[in-house]
Amino acid sequence: MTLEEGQVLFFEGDFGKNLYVVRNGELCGTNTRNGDTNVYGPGALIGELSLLKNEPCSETVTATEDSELQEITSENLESALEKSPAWFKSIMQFLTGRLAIAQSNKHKSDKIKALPSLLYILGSLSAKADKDGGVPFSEIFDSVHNLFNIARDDLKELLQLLEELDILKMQGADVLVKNPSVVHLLYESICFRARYKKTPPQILSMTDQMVLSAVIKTVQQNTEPLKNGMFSVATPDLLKNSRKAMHGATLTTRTLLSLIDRKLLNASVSIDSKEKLPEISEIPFFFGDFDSILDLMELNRIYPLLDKGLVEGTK
Amino acid sequence: MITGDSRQPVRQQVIPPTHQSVKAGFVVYSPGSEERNIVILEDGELVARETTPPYSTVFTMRPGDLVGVAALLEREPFKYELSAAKDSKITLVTEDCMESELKRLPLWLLALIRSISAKTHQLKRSAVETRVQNTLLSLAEYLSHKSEKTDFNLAELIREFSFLTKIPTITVEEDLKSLLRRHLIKLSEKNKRIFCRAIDSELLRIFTDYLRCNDNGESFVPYKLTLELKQILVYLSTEDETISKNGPEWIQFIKQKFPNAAVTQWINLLKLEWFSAEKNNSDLFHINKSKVLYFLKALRYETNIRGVL
Repeated sequence: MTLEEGQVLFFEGDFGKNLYVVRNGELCGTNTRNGDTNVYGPGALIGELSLLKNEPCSETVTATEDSELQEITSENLESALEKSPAWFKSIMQFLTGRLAIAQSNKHKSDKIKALPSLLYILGSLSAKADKDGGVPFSEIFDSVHNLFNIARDDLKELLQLLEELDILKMQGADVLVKNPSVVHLLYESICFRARYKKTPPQILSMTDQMVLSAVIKTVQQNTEPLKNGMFSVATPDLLKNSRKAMHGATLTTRTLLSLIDRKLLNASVSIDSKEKLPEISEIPFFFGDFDSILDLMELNRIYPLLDKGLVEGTK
Repeated sequence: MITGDSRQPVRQQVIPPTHQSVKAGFVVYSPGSEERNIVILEDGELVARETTPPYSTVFTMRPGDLVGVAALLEREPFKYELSAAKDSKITLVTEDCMESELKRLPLWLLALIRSISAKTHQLKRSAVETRVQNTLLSLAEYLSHKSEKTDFNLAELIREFSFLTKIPTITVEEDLKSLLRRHLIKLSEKNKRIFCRAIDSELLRIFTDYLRCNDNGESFVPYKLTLELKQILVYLSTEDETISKNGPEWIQFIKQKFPNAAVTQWINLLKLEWFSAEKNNSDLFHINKSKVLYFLKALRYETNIRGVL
């Protein structure tokens, strides 16, 4: 078949069934999803996956000069494979399957690798944005594209994932980050995990999370306002709430020790020796920064869901 | 002497694959072997194991599965030992057998196999490489989000940036030199450690915009202003941004200072975003000071941005 300059062979998303071998001329393929362009000269093949897997075309291919193409249909392929031994067909299937896996892996890995860059930019732009003001999607895209060369659709998918995790909200052309501190914590946790190959210190044990849930509940029940964001909870109130949060288990000073060490909780009496801890009833109250606890708990809610979301993809 | 009809296609000799029955425990392939075969399991079970302790099983093959395609067609090393877990029947496609079969294929099918193979190889390779094409742009973007008031440990900075972008350290170091030459960053030494500071975040952002325009083959708008526009820019930078006027009033205002300015210049000024419409009244405009100052800074530091210091 022949194509005149400017004629389109097929459009991105079309369900083609044929393979084309360029005999003469030149064609150009453009992918709007990632902005990639491919040039096809004599000898080049176009539409391998359309022929082998009936997949939609990944790009719009246009003749940039008068071109001559050899068209290979699925019947041509069937006929050629019929003449080959049975094992050869298995090899073709294997090669096709492997290419599809490599494509899917590449797409997933691009998204996974882009996430830290997105969090870095989101943390920075949302911290500069007006309170309750959103960051324009275009500004986020420009910055993440400059930094990582992310594809527009990949960025949208990642933002959608973060929206599903309740980290942000997309409002028209703007992205509203609900809590920049949580974005920053998440970024720090991912960096730590990548560098040291172990669980980040911000990720709490189940017991610590249960204790902090009880602390949050106690603070919320308190009628006294916070002073400069600092809370103070009376030990009897905390013990009452912790029994429910910890499914009946009794709270002790030792249980609270890791949170005290991290300065998330501060005891109203000094704890000098870890060997000889005071009874919890001997400590009248505990205090700390309420926002830090809320942010950390939010991080601990998101963190395990994030990996799952990245691997499984968004809806 | 050549005899026969020369128009007759030459009959290629076909080398058939080898069929084997192997007992459980038989080693079908070991990584030390020189031979490269595709192994197709017809019946039984094969396992691929690591060759070092604890000799973990990597995968198990069921009837119909095959292995060794990449090793045979792409010379990719197959690093596991393949042995029979049960008595099995296998088909071995040797290099000679494959070659003889490939020779019989139409050229387009051969090209198709090569193309699939090459694409897979390229995808696998690109999955571990950086996606970034302009590494200097990427570094400038990264640094533009760092506080101007803080000295950052250079080694930590490079580590973080490389983690984000997968750009090799050696390339990052070259790009840092490029930014240093342009006076966009400052290095200092404390306690035998090198620290880096972004001198002006906005200037780094202007630099990223400039690089992006270059990449897209476009001119950077601040550097294609006419002399008159530059003069208007300087004039506007001195004016109060809280004053609102409608279009004709602003034209009149500009004409007082620049009598030769055409009315169409107003459209240019709006396109350049030096004026913004009021949120509550789109007929009224005020000077967009941040945009005006952005243009002024771009012009003031043109030599830094262009790297012609």
